[in-house]
Amino acid sequence: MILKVNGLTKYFGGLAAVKNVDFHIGKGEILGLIGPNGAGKTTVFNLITGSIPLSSGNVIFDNREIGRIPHPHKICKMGIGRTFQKVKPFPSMTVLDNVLAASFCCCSCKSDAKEKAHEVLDFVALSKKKDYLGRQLTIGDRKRLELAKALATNPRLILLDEVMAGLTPTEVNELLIVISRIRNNGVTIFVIEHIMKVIMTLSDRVVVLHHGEKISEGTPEEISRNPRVIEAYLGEETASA
Amino acid sequence: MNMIMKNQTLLLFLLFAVTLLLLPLFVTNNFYLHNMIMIFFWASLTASWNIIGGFAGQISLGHAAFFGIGAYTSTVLFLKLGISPCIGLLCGGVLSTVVAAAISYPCFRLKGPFFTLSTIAFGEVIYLLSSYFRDLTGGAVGLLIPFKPSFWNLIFREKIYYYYIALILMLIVIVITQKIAKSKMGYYLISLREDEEAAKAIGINTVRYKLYAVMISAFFAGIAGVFYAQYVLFIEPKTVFSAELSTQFALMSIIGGLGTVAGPIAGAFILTPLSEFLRAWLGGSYSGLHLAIYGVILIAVVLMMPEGIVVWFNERVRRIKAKTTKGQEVKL
Repeated sequence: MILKVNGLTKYFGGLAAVKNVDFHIGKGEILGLIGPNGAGKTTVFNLITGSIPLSSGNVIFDNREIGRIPHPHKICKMGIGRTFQKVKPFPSMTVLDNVLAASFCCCSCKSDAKEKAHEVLDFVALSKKKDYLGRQLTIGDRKRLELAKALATNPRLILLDEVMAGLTPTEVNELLIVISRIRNNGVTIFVIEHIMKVIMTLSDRVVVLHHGEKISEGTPEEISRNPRVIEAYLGEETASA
Repeated sequence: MNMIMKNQTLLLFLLFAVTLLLLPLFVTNNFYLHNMIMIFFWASLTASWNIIGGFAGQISLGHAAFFGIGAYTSTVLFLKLGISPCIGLLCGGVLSTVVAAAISYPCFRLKGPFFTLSTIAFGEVIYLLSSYFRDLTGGAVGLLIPFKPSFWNLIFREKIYYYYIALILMLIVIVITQKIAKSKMGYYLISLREDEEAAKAIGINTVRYKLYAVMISAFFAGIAGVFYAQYVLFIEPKTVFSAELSTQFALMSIIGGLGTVAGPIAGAFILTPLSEFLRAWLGGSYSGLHLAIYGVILIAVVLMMPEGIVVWFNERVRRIKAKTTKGQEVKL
């Protein structure tokens, strides 16, 4: 087991954004996290990576308690990479420099870092645009860059926050291949996604959040049959479809 | 391609350095030498400010504090304890660095304009303290350094010595800025400037790197302060700790090109003579007119080249190059 979360809770004032959530991720697994808008999915990511302090609960990564480390850079160095839902490229740096800044995380020597950056750019198929500036990229490429930066830090666990949102169906299919290759390289993946096709094909297991609470957990098939999940989340979609 | 560009930069730098090193062979007029000294002096200051203000994007408007601390440290050591400014130079730089770290660490919790405001406040506090501790600093009257020319006193009769000291200081700052820009630290500083949250997520200890940047920056500001004291031989709180001075550091970098190695140097090389020229030309006839024109020019530059002269210039060169290579492809 690479990550174990117990009783994770976060209050913003009186509002419980995440309430008593438990789950775990096995090594090499792909765990999906779904839920309606405002369910607290991104907050869970922010709690794990130390971007915001948790109110109570434990986060155990590789048998180490990391829930009380409020420094995202330390969490990153321990081996948890993340992407942001609202992509954050460094706008005035080139794509290569964006990734290079991230690959310095694991290689302090510049030539090694450069090699790593090129390797990662090849991996996400962004090499052709390495000289573009961050702000010149299309949304699809920004998502790839986001992925490349997270990968360049050499993570053992990677948290993907809606990397498929806003992409065309072709782009989604291409990125699906990239993500399964990340798994084949031995990286554990924890993914938030709204596109059901992605969650269903990718995840080994799925955790469902609703109003900050875990309402269900299981294989994609189990989840899609669970009445509580359908009511909270899929219900709306099937009704409108 | 990369190799060629690398060598080009090096070649340009060497050309620049050698020209300036040889310049006094042809220019012996004290007025021109003085102007060159002031250019080097401003270039060193604005380039060192650029490390924290440009690369790390932390717009500090209290940098005169570090400049003044350098100036006062060496002068007080010299006047009260008879310690040579050669040693005072180092002490001034080190004390500035320490104070910079102590002041900036709490300020770094603030972002953007709030950080800037806090640096202004700290700058003012240090200015007031320097006026208050009259026994040590001479208060508002200032400190006069007796003119006893010798190398050990770092006081010279001829301007040429100051010329070379200022030039070497500037060259060192340029080399260090270039080293930073090309190293891990440079990438880290630019990353945290562009998006602090994203920088943290890729493992960058943003507070630590901002601290490194401000310490290096303050060290050279302190040394420039010592140089100023030894050159002018008179310091007072109003001149060395003034907010106006802090604004100058920022201004030259912004006009030249924030966060670039050449930007602040270009800024100092253009603005220093420009203000001197305007003052000589118009200062006598209509008081204040030279400042008004200077202001208008600055506004025009910022409006037309918001990223600074160097960035604007590079962009032109890149476009012309792109055009010519395209033309060649068509021919082929």
